[in-house]
Amino acid sequence: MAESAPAVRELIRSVEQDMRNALTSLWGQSTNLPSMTLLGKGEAAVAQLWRSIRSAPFTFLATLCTVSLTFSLVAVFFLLTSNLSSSIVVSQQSLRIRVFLKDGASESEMKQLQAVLEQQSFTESARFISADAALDEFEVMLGSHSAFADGLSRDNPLPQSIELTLREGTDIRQAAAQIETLDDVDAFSQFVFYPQQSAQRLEELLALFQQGVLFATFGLLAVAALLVGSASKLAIYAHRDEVEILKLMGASVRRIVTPYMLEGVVQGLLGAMVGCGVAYLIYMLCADSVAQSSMLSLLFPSFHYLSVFTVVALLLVAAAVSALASLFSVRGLVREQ
Amino acid sequence: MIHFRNVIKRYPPKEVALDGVDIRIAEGEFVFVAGASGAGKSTLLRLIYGKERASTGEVVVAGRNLATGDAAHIAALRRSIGIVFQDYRLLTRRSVLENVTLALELQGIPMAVRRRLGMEMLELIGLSERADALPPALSGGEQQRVAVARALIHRPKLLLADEPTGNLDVKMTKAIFDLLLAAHSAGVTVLAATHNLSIIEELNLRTIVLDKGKVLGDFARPSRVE
Repeated sequence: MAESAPAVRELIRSVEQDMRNALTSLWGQSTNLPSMTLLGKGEAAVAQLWRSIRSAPFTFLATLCTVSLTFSLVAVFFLLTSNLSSSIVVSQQSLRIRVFLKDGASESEMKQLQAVLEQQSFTESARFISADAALDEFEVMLGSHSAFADGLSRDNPLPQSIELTLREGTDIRQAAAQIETLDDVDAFSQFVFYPQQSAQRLEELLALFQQGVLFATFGLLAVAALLVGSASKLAIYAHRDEVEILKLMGASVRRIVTPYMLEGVVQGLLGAMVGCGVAYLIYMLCADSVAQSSMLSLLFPSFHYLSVFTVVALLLVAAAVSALASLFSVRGLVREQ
Repeated sequence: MIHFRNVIKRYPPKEVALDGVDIRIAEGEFVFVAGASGAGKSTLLRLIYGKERASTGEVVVAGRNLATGDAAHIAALRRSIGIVFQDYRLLTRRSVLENVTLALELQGIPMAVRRRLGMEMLELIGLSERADALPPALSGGEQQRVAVARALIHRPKLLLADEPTGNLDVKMTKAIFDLLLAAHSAGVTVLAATHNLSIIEELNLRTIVLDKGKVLGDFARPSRVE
């Protein structure tokens, strides 16, 4: 201060007077101010999200790439496991129940029984197999050894039967048990047959497979959460100054965390969309090869893309995992400061 | 407004930043905290806005004991006061206007109202034409004026200023203190840490002098502080 003290004081006093009046006027307008509406809060969060993306686009992209890569692996894993699971289910569906008719059952009795069986809720179709047709099937089954069946053709001992194809998702053992309780079956049939051992093995295999998939899914999601969490931590570290200033200004933890959680949701959704896209690309590239390869079509008899349910679940899980990863990263940073 | 009772602040392993500080600052006062670098000025301010906690003793601000307050309590206190930092601490990715209105945003005031009040505040500090600029585009003096405006816009009861003119020239120092004095004369309690003895001498207001964490003197109207 080069000027003399009284002169400076005088100058300050006059400026101070003007400023005080201006401040008082401004503060006068600051009483009873309205609060932000929910829509306003939403707009502010979106604006903050957009600002965050714009201010650190490379960090956002790097995190998005990590999330996309992670959820591409998850989506491809689901593509494989859902098709493998379907192949077991298809094998289960191929199992049939046969109701063998009593010797000498008349055509009207056979038709009556067929009608009763078709009416059952679990029945997809009921096909009559005559003794001759049964012999033909037997010969086909024997293949190169069909000569063994030659002696049977003169006096065919095979009984007539009705073969039931079951609806999807039907428990073959329960269906067979239910059929055995029907009066008409009791009256016109010798016995009810289904491949009990195969059904049991397939059921056990499916249960084991589903448990394995569930376990692997949790493991994979935990790894995904770790990867996304690390990426989020790095991304949020780029905003550490902003987080610290907001905290110093008295922002609540929720106020600081919300925009970053929203960013996590966006990254999770976009990452899962990319992941589903990658899985679709793989599906498109492999579908023809699977159909043409006899070995692969045995493994994947109905090669299909992810179900709508799986895609929606993947999007939601990705959004939740990314949001939680962001939440924990920011909370950690807020606590550190 | 502020009451320190035998406050000691230690930093591990053995550094003592404040050593048995007892001070009381009443509502509406303008108080300088003076001392050389490392005297404990910034630590004293950080204890007041809850950035640090006292190792022993009691810090009471606006009737609240900060030793027992939780994070929400500290956040609420910070929203009710204004803080000016030596290094400005402006949000570099937000415009000048958004920086000035940050305290209002944290209070949940709608954007249109914030914008109106913010523009008035910028008019007052002579930066209305830089409303949309980003802080790095401003000079040091302009950034500090923005920081003071941000600290004042929500009518704080208490304004803490940590070396508010540390790196500024005489003209900018005067502009900043004009604002602080205007706020004080409008009823705001001001506590400013500074090592600028000439401004203390010129304004001749209450001054607490710290040295190595101890209160060396508390001068009601220092005509000269050595």
